[in-house]
Amino acid sequence: MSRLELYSPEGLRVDGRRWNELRRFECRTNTHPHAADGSAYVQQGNSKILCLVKGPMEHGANLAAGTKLDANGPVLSITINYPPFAANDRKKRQKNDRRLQEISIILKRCFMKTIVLKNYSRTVIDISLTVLAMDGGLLACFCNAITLALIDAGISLYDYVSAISIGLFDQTPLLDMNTLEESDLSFVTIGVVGDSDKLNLMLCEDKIPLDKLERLISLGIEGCHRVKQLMDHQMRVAGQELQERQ
Amino acid sequence: MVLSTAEKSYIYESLSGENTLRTDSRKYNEFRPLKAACSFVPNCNGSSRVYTADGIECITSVKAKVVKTKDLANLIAVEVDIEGQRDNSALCLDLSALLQRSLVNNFDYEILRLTDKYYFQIYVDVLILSVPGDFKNSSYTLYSLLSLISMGSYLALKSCKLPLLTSTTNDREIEEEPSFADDWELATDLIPESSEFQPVLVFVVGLVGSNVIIDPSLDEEQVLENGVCIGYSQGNIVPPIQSVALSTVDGKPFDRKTLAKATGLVKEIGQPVTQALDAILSEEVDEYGSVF
Amino acid sequence: MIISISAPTKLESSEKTVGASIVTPGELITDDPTWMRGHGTYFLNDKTYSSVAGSVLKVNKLLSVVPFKGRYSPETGDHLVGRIVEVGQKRWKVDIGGEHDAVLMLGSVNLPGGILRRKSESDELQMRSFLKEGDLLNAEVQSLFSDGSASLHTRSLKYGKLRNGVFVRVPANLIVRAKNHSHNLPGNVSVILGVNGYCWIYKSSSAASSADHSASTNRTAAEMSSSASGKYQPGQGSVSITRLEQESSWDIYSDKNDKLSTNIKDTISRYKNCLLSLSQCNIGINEVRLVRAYEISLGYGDTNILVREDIRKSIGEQVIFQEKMRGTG
Repeated sequence: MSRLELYSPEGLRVDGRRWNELRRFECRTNTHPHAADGSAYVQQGNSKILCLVKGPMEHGANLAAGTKLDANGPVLSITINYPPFAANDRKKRQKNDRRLQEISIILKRCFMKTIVLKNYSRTVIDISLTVLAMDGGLLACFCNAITLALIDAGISLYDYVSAISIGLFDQTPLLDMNTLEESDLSFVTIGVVGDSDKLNLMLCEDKIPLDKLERLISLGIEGCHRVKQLMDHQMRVAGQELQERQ
Repeated sequence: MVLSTAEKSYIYESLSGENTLRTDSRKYNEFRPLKAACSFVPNCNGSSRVYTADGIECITSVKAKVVKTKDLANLIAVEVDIEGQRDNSALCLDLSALLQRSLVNNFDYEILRLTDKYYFQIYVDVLILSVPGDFKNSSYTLYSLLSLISMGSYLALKSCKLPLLTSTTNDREIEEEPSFADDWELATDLIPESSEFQPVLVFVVGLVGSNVIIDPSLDEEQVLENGVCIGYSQGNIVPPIQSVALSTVDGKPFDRKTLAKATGLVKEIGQPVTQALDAILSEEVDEYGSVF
Repeated sequence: MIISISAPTKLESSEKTVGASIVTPGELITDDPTWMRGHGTYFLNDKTYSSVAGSVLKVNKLLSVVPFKGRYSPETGDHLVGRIVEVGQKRWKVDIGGEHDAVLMLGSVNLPGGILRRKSESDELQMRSFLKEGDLLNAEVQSLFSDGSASLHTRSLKYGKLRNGVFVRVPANLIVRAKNHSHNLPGNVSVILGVNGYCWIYKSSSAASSADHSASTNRTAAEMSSSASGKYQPGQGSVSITRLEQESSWDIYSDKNDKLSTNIKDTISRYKNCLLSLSQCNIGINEVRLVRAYEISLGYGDTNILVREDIRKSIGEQVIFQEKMRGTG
């Protein structure tokens, strides 16, 4: 696809959005009450992610052999299921896919800074992510889903972490990229702490002019705040429902 | 979960007694309540989600691809992936092979045929989520998932939609690649309603004493003496009929009579299960009213 | 009905007004530094923030946030049902559905031969013959460790190994804390509603009624003394030591069930389904409600019908409805 089509002169992107618009964001919590302590489902455009959190507990099922429990905080184990049908073209991924492992390490680092560690000494928190459909924003979707599932599990967090990807088309920053845009443009993913403008996560794997980076990030922060509002609303609605029924 | 000796003997005595009492009050021929939904994965031809009340979940997708082949048996590929298990673990491979064999043996290849040379190849990918964490040190196995998986693949196959073929079906003389309509509104069902063909369903039957029970729960599995899986399609018992290890302890041989009982049970429940599954297929799924 | 497959329940649209009492992580609760900060909060620059999604609870000067969901966290004196996961040296590890496994020391159980018996090395070697992996027991939380994990004891006749019944797990936050967590129910069946959400439904023992009587008199005495001293004593309200010695034989660690009639088994599974009905409807569980659910379920006839989700739901609704009519909460 030629670059021109990604952003038309009238200011429209391939899916009809403007540069600063999010895709449709949907989320649910407590989707798997019997299977896990906390669960969440996040949908950003056509990307659909499921996250199950088990724990805090003393025995982790997915824990690598030989991992020792830590007296200062929990051991996070993040597994990613990327089934072959999730992408547009069927593609089998190995369980130890390098890219997925890298992503899980980035997420682990991010959430170790978000969880109130001292409350969870000598425990395991088992996070399992499942990609049902992928249309861009992999890391951002993962991050949002984990935040919701951790909150649903009743695990103490300092604040929400909301994440979004931002790309650069020529001079214009584009918010919340889909697969088509991701494959052609440079982009960066950021995760923001609550309503602040502090970043807890950032990943940029392409070349981006340094002077543009600041604009991308400030657009991203706005997007993250919007995502946080949507997640917070969902959390409150779900909480209310749980409260009413008791 | 590992059961205590007292619990095991309680369940065993209840199941093997004259009336086959199950601790969750089910009848011997009754399934646990299931929830299911179809067609919720956007970039698959067909998809389904089946889960039990205790949280085990099976997500199945069907993807189709156009291939030029003469070898019909290769048109169906099945892959089962279980969370927390390696892809090449015995359990995953066994379940994949069992399901693949049962589908291949009982398939109507006419519905995959596009032209004289081209066929649809279908990939059935199954993902099992949230298996109980302690099953590695318990005495049950996860072979009972077979019944859930086969229901999932039944739904996914029946909800599978394919684009409308616009080129000619006769390409014996002229070399022509098949082309399809762009409009998804025109898509056709893989298995048209007029077709009598039904994908195979595989049921797992637990054997205890001289009694048989359908859909054993994980608690029940730990006291079962043996298990068989039995295929069912269009009112008939079809292959595979094979014994499966549902528990890792004290297997006991079973006799002809019990096997006959088991096949009788499957014959009896096949029809109602098919109906219940077909009812799910007719439920409308709107794309954003997410199924979660 | 052979099979029931239903579509997932759809959530209604989320256009509700949201109550102000709910807080979410990172939300400022107060900037008044005089509050003491309890669970579910953290403190930064003289301000107290919430760290979980839940409702704010203020007791005197203590401020905490109770999460909507979460694992069971043990408290001293809780009556629990647990399952042995590991047999170690001089101790068992017990799964109680909490963040940590609980510990049951060899010294905190009654061994065959009476309470005054000394524990010897041979006892350490045959720990598995008392309690082994998978065994269920009911116990009381004796004390808590600094990381919040519990140490249990079974030094009373009402605690110990469980048999003659079935295990049911419900969410821990649904069990209403009460003075007594083991109850005799109509139909010659008893239940232990463990505070951790693990429940055990079993056939009432024939001696139950008399034991119950003596236990209750003992308990009132113990309560009086404990209210006088204001201190908690592990094992309070248990039967007297002399009786303990009489009954502490190998029987208390037996794996064999008594003879159970079909009738009793049917009643047990009816209670099991009633518990699950209450849990499915998210109704707080206590003895009164369980009995009420049981009585309502009898009106539906065969136990088998309670498998159905819609029946379970309507049982739950009727329990709540009856409570409203009678004006009890």
